[in-house]
Amino acid sequence: MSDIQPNTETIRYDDAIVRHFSYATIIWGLIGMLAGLWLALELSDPRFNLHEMVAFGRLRPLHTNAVIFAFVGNGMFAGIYYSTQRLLKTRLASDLLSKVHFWGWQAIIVSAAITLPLGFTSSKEYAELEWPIDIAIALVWVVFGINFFWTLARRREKHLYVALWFYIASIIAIAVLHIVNSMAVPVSLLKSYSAYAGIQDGLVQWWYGHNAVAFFLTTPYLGLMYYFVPKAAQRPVYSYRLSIIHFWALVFLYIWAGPHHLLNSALPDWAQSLGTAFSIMLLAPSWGGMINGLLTLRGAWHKLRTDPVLKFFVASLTFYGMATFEGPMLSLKSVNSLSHFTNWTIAHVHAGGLGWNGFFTFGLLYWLLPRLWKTDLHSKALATTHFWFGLIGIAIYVLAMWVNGVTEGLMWKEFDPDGKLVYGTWDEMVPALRPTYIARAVGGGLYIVGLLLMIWNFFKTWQTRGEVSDTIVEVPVRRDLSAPAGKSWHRKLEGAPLRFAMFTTVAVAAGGIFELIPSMAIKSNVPTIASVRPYSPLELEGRDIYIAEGCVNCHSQMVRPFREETLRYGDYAKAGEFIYDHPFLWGSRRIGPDLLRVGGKYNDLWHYNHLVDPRSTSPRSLMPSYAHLAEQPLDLSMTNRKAGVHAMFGAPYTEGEIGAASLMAQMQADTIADGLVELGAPDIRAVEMVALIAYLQRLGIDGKGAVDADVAPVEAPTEGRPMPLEAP
Amino acid sequence: MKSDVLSFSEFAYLAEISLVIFMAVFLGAIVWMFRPGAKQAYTACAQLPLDD
Repeated sequence: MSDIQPNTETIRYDDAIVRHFSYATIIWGLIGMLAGLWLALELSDPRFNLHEMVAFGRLRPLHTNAVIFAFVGNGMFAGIYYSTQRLLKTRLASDLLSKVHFWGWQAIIVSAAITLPLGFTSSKEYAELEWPIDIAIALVWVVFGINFFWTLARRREKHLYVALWFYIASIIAIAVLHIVNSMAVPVSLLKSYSAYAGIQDGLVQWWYGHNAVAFFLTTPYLGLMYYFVPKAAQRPVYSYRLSIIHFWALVFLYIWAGPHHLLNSALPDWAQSLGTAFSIMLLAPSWGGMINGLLTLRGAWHKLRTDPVLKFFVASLTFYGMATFEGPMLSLKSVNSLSHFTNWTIAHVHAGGLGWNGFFTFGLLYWLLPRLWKTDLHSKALATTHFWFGLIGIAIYVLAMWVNGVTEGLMWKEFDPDGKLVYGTWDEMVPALRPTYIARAVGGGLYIVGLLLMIWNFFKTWQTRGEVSDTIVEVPVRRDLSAPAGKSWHRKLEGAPLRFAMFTTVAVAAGGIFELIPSMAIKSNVPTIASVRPYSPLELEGRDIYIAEGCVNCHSQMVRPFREETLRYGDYAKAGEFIYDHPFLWGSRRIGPDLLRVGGKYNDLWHYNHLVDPRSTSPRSLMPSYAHLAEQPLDLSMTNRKAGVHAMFGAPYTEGEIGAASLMAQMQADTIADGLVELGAPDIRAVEMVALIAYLQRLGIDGKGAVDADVAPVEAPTEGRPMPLEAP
Repeated sequence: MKSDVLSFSEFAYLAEISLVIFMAVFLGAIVWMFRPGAKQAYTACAQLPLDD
């Protein structure tokens, strides 16, 4: 027997899990994008709102969740699992954990696809899923983290390549963000209330929302870029040192920028300024990363002519650069005053989503799947055709939404020479936007045609597959990796995953801690308004229906301190108005008008008519019909418990009020229904619509002290006919 | 008691301190990366994706 030890050993990379995640990416991508196309059609013509389960308010979170967490998420996991094994020269630590991760994630997506159309939502953007699913997400994420860090511990390569740093940051940051933002108190299996209220909920939500973009859609994909672009170009990354600066700058800066989603709102001014300042600073690392990726192709640009993978990667990086230039610009308060709540934001996120994430995922799949199937791609020409369909689709989509966003932003702000709003009613502005809504659907349709070409191309490629099995490689035998990687502290850090992860955690957590704690703790951030009272039990129920129907996806509740907004809607919003709002419902988009001051503006019959047939009161409205709320029984069995939870949050309900909440709700419902019956409307005392009307009539009343005495009241109709929309 | 202390505390200085610390760490990392002799090590690191 020889004493000589071999220098290498044979191992098998787990490619099955990469294939599974790749297939899931394609399937969910198609579903998520078709949902997006359907939403675009609904805005082109409200008749596409065929059923309440696919009406805009309920379908929109399904689209965003499917595209972000299912399409991009699965693509990210495929890329991370493929590259991590190869960069560390070891098989994934546990096949079982990989499978739990895969099937757990798919189960979460399926549960989202079921619960969201049914109206089970927390309403928090990109975090809509209810608490049991939130817990499942946290558990599956922990499984992913254990599998990843365990694999790091079993590695054969001392140095952690920069792609792995981005993966580490993503895993840690998403865990922190998800857990903090999802803190909620359940009242039933599929209903909970955010633990935070008003401006605090807004700040936490957009700290999460912004950083979901950062650490789910950006940092993991930057990690993939640092691995797959060099692979595709067969060139090392342009500057490894620039990649280190890129990483730390991005991780330090990104987490602070969340408040730029709440500019000109009731959020304290210091937090808004902080968000703007860090957003501007973000431009530097973002473009540093883009330049590093693009220059990796130095000396290989000619490959772009023939290689569809590189075409997708280069276009993706270009879109990343464009989106990360546009983002800081939109974070300037003056620009934001025009762009916020408009489709300009939608253009921005789709340049990032379709261009950066979508195109990178396609490039990744075109590079990955033929290798995993041990064959060649069926048709490069078809892949190139996919590229052009996608690129033209994005161009049409983004251009249409830019035009749409700027148009509506300017229309909202337009005054005549007498100082009155040129477009006094919302209805007058809708027709101007319709052509661009149609163009958006065309652009999205072209993008999906490209996706279908890819699916066909992969099907033909799969038919020519070789032996589909794990990759077998010769790797160096394991050695002791405990010695430092180098003399400098950073070189040591690069070979020490635990310490590296701790540094990253500090960097990621710091921004959140320094922004969130002062906003939570300092009383002066939320001045008390004596007239602000908690919601009545029926209004609480109505608020839950408002949340379930996804009204927040089209209607904001945040009147900004601009003349055109106070003229159109009423008093601007104050921080103290939202102290009982669990969750906050400020919204991020105005497809319809702001509703903060809608309480008392119209009578109950107007709301009844508007909900049953929006076109009866606003002839050009895009709103779906909510006639089903006039048939859906009003369930007051949980009202007492809901009032109790709000009392626990600090709402000054007495014990008696909590115990009699459902009775009080029914009494208020009777009052509203009796009034409507007198005007000729059907009796709605026992259906959900009465609660929604109660909530809408309460909105903003406390914040403006009372109904403004100078505004002429809306006359009640003598018959049950629809009311015309009055200019405010 | 705890919430009263928190609510009347002035936390603004925390952001300033953190900014100074982060800036120092960030600049320190840049200095280390561009120190003489670092290029060779990082050139080897950059080859890792092409090496698997």
